[in-house]
Amino acid sequence: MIRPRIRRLFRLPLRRRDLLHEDVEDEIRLHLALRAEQLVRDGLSADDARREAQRRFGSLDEATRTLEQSATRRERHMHAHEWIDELRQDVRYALRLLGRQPAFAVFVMTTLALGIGANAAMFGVVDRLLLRGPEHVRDVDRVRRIFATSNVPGIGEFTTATMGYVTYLGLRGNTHGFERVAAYSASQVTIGRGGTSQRVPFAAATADFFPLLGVRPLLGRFYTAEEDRTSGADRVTVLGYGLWRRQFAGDRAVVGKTIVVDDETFTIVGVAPEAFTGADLSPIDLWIPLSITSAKVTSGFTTSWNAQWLQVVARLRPGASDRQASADASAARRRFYDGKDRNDAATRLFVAPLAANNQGKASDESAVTRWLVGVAAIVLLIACANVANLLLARAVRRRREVAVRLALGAGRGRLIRLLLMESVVLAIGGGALGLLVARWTGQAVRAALLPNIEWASSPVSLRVLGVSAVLTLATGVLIGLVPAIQATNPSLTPALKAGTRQGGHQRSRMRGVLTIAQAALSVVLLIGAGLFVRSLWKVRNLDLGFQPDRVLIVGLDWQRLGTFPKGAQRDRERARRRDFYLRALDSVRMLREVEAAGLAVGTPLQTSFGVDLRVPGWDSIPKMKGGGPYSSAVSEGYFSSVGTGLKRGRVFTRYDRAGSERVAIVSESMAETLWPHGDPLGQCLLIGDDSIPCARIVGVVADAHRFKIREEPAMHYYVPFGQESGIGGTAVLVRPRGDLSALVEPLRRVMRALDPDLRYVDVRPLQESIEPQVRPWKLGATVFGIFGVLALAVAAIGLYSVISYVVAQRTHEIGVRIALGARTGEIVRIIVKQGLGSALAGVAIGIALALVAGRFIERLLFDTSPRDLPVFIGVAAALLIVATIASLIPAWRVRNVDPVEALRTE
Amino acid sequence: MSDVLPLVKGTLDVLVLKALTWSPMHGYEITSWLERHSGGTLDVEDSAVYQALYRMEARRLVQAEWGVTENNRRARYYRATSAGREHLKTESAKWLRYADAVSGILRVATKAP
Repeated sequence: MIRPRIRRLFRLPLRRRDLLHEDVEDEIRLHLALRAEQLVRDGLSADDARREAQRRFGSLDEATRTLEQSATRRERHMHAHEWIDELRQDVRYALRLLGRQPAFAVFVMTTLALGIGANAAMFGVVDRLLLRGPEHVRDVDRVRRIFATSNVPGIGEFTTATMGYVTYLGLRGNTHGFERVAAYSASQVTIGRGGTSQRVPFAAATADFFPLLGVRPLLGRFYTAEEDRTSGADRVTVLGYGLWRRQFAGDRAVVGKTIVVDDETFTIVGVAPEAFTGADLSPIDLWIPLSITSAKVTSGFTTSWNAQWLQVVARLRPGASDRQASADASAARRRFYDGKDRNDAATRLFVAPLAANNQGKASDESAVTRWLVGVAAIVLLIACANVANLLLARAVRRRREVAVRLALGAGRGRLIRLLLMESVVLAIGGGALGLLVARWTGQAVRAALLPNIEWASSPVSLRVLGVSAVLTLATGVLIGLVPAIQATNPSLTPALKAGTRQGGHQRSRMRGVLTIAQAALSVVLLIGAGLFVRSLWKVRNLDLGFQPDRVLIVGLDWQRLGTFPKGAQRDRERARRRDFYLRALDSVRMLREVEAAGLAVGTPLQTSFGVDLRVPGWDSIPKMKGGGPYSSAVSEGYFSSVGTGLKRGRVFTRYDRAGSERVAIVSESMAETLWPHGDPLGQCLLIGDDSIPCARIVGVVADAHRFKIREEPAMHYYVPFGQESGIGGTAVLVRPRGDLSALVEPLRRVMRALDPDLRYVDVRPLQESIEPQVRPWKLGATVFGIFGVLALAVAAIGLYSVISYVVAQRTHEIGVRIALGARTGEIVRIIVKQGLGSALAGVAIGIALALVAGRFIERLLFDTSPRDLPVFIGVAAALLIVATIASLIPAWRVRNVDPVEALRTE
Repeated sequence: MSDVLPLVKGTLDVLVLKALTWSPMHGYEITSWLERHSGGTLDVEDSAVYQALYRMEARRLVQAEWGVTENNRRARYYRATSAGREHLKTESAKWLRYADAVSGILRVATKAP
């Protein structure tokens, strides 16, 4: 009979269930016998005593049956208890074991923490960017954005998400595939007056926008269709949660109060819930009925096909597919289009998810993000391989203990569970640490790489926690299963007899495979990192035709001209502002930190204009792929401020201004296209309507990108500031001598001092406008880079541990060799060779994998081949160097092997 | 046995536990202990004692182990676990409070006219 404690100590199974029946009968039989004996002693006959004993016991059959039932129930209960007990014991056992090797435990947990944390952090990013969509949107899977594709002769297919109010109205009234249609447009407004005024992000949206998304207000209400009218409607607004907290200190009685928006007073009717960002992901501080702001775009905005400034979103009807909805929308547009343009009439509409880019396709950012998830998964795999490797080594050392347990009759499944518990405990520790890693990396990734996104929750959200928990358990089983199965392999029972030295070779083959896998995966990551870093470097060094990183752009915001009475007063104000810019330019140049400054209407990365243009000698201007010709009006000093080089002729001077001779400067592409053989200087441009005389070309400047890092060349020409017609919106461009940020405040002060009526002065680096475009490569380079180095470190430690183990295992053999006269240097060489062998195999496999994966990553790289030779060579060299060091250190210990000691241990 | 008392539900568990505080016993020993200490006034079939034992074993109030009697017969011995002793303490306190309250009321009631 085995006592429960002993049984549990060695993990032996509980009583078998088929024996229960017998047990119960035995117990009853004994009871009846003892009772009868007692009754006989009290004077009854043997027969009477037996009958009386049975009577007192109760109906024998029934009692037996119920007792058996409750015995079964009892056993089941006990099993459950036992199971929990065992679990608790296993956990305690695992903890005790790990407590004995704290360094090992800490190392493993840290390794796993990096793997799990990386995955949790990446999941948090992907969850927001790709899976969950904007906050507070009900059934985001059925919310779609509308895109329009038109075919413009000379330019080709052109897709946009920007459209006019007419399209919104038409879709609302003429389609069947949508439950609802709404339109919005996000931009910036000035709130408050004077020195305390500030620019905040706002969105103008139709009243049906909110019910379409399914959002409920935190306080008050959203505005109604009644309030979204061009005339006669009250000025109402809904505050964003962020502004409500900042500006109104979270005042719950804010509904009914007023707020000044662009010099008009609005009544607050509600507050949007926290992190509500509409259909996009960036924060919105203010929601205003669309009609109010649209009337400022053009008074005829409800019928104009030319004014296009809105995003249209729709909710699909249940059962409607994207294709049906797109076809429906296109057909509807053909019916309701009443404009004159034949090309415009043929425009097709289609729908795409909210996460799509402005072309209606999966964005680069989402593609890179998807890759990063894969990268995080690889990091976890490497971490798992590394830990499994270490556990395998331990399993070998524990074979004796396991064999003793097996010999005592412990079940194999039970033992595997015991061993698995250890790895699960390790994984849980790693998972917990991993959450810290996720928090830090998540925050870093958010702040550095994905700003302008309202994240709504901490990097470790409930969903992230859930995913991490699943990952942790999967990791625990993954890293423990193979070692546990190997350790409990019954064919290893001879281990009882042998020492720990034998039987290690088989296992070290498995460990070798794991080492090679780690090296290979590290190579893949490092090559990825290399390719992204090269792309980023190329992007950074790309010649845009100007230098956005050296330029500050100053935007000024006055009260709208429209608020001045038409006629003399408005003209006076217009003239005053023009004069203000010229005075501002002079004052800015007085600042010591300013190297150059200029004015521009139509600045790179901000605005571009097209004006009717005729060129003598051309019936029509040839079209270029990038569109155009584009037009800007710039002051003297502009080209040196932004850093656009002069190729021929001269730039504008102080004397090129309103009223002086009409002159122009053209871009290189324009000069080459229009006058491929002749001299562009002195040629004539007819800009604007027929009455305006010829502008004489005085110079040729380098091509400058207009909006994007990747774009087709286009023609561009410049006229002097003051000679432009039909375009407006002036910016001051400033090139500081030193640090850009040091000049922001002085510039603001100068502007305010010149005109206290300014509503807002906006000073920002031009680079800011280009940064979002660089982000995919920055994201890729950073994350691939960090993870790649991490992976390399982990793989190096893995190799180190394998070599250490090999050295420890072969101490005896090495001792013999030394005793036989081998030199230690030779032995070190043999061992290092073994390490390098794994590394070389890893490099080969890694490169093969990278070549395959490269085809998929090609689209995401910038001017970089996925087979970029320097990157491949660099990575291979780095890995081999690290591998040499990682195996040299443990191999060096061979020198400490004392042949006498080594032989005596047998 | 004319003045047998019907057993209040749940009481048997407490009584069995009480018996087991003295020493580990097998089923019959428990039964006769109860009879001895109650003066034979409990109206309960012997099988009920086993029901109570199994139930409490599942709840881990008692623990069982096979052993042998003085006469070398195989018997299942029960002992109270620490949880069982705890249970006994709280339950008997509850029971005594209840009994006090009831008998107090009854005494007052008989005095009233």
